[in-house]
Amino acid sequence: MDPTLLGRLIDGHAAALVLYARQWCAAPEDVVQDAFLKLMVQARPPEQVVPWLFRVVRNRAISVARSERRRQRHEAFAASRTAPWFAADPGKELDAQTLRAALGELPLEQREVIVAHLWGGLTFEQVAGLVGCSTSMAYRRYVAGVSVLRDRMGVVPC
Amino acid sequence: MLNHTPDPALNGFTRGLADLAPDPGGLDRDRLLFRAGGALLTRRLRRWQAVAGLLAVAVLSLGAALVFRPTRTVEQVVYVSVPLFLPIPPEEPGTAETPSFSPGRAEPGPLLRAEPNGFRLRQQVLLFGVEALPAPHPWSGPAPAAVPLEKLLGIPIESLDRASTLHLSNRLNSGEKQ
Repeated sequence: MDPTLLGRLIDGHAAALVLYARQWCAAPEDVVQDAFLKLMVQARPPEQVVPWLFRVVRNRAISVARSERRRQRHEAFAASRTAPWFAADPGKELDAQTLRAALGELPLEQREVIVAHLWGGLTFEQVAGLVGCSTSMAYRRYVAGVSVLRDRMGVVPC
Repeated sequence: MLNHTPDPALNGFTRGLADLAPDPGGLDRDRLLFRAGGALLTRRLRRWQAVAGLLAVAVLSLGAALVFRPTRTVEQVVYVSVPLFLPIPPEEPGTAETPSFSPGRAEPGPLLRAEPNGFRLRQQVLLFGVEALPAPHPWSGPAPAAVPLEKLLGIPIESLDRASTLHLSNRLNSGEKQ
C-alpha cells in the first residue's frame, strides 16, 4: 500500500478507530496500530478499506478484551475508564465528559453502532455487515441509542 | 445516509455529537508510519527468503535424485553386423578337441576326420550353411621328390652308357611312354 494513502487513512480514521476499540479493550492504540500494520502487509488491499479496518479493529479488540479478562488486569481496565474518549473543546455545544459518561452507559450493541456510524462514517449497510445483523436492526439500534443519549445528556428536543 | 432519522430534533442532536472529535489517545502517527514501513520491508524480505528457501529445497531434491536415482533397465533391439565367415582361431595341439568315439553315437562326418578343427567346421556348417565354408584351395604342398633313374630301372647306372642315360631321362621327364 502507498504510504501516502496510509497516512491519509491514519489522519482521517485513526481517532474513530481508537474510539471504536475503546468499547471493548483498555489498550485501543495497540489494536488500531496492529490493524494498520495488517493493512500495510496485505498483498492485495481490500476493496473497502475503512470497513475492513473497523472489522479488524473489532475482532482484535474483542480478542484483547478476552485476554485482559483472563489476566485480570483490572488496573488497566480502570485506567481506560478514566481516559478521555473525545477531545475536549469548550466551544462545542455538548460536553465531552458528559457524552463519554452517557455513551459508556449504553449497551454495547448500541454503542458500537453509534460509534461506527457517527464518528467512523460507515453507512448502515456497512455497520450491519460489521456487527453481523441486518441493516434495519442496525438502524433501530442507532436510533434507540441516540435517543437514550439525548435523554441522559439532558438535551431538550426543540 | 449519515445522521438521517425521521426525527429532525434527533438529527440535530446527532450532528452535535458528530462535531465532537474522538480522542486519538496515545496513537503516534509517525511511529505508526515507521512501523508500517518496517513491516512492509519485513514482508518483502520474508518473500525473498521463502523464494530462496524453495529454490534451495528444489536444488537439494534434484541433487539427491541425481545421486540416488535407481538404475533402469532399458530393453531395446540392437542390430549387430556379424561377418559371414567366423575366423577360426588356430588351435594349439594340446588343446584341440578330439572327438571321442562312443558306441551308439553317430560316426563323425568326413570334415571332422579330414581337418583337426573339423568339429568347428561342422558347427559352422550347422549355423551358417554349406555356403559359409571357405572355397577349397588348390594343392599347395611340396613337390614330390625326384626319383633317381637307376631306382626306376632297377639296374645300376654304370651299366648304361651316357647316350642311353640322357635319352631315358628325356623320355621320363617328357612323360612319353615306352
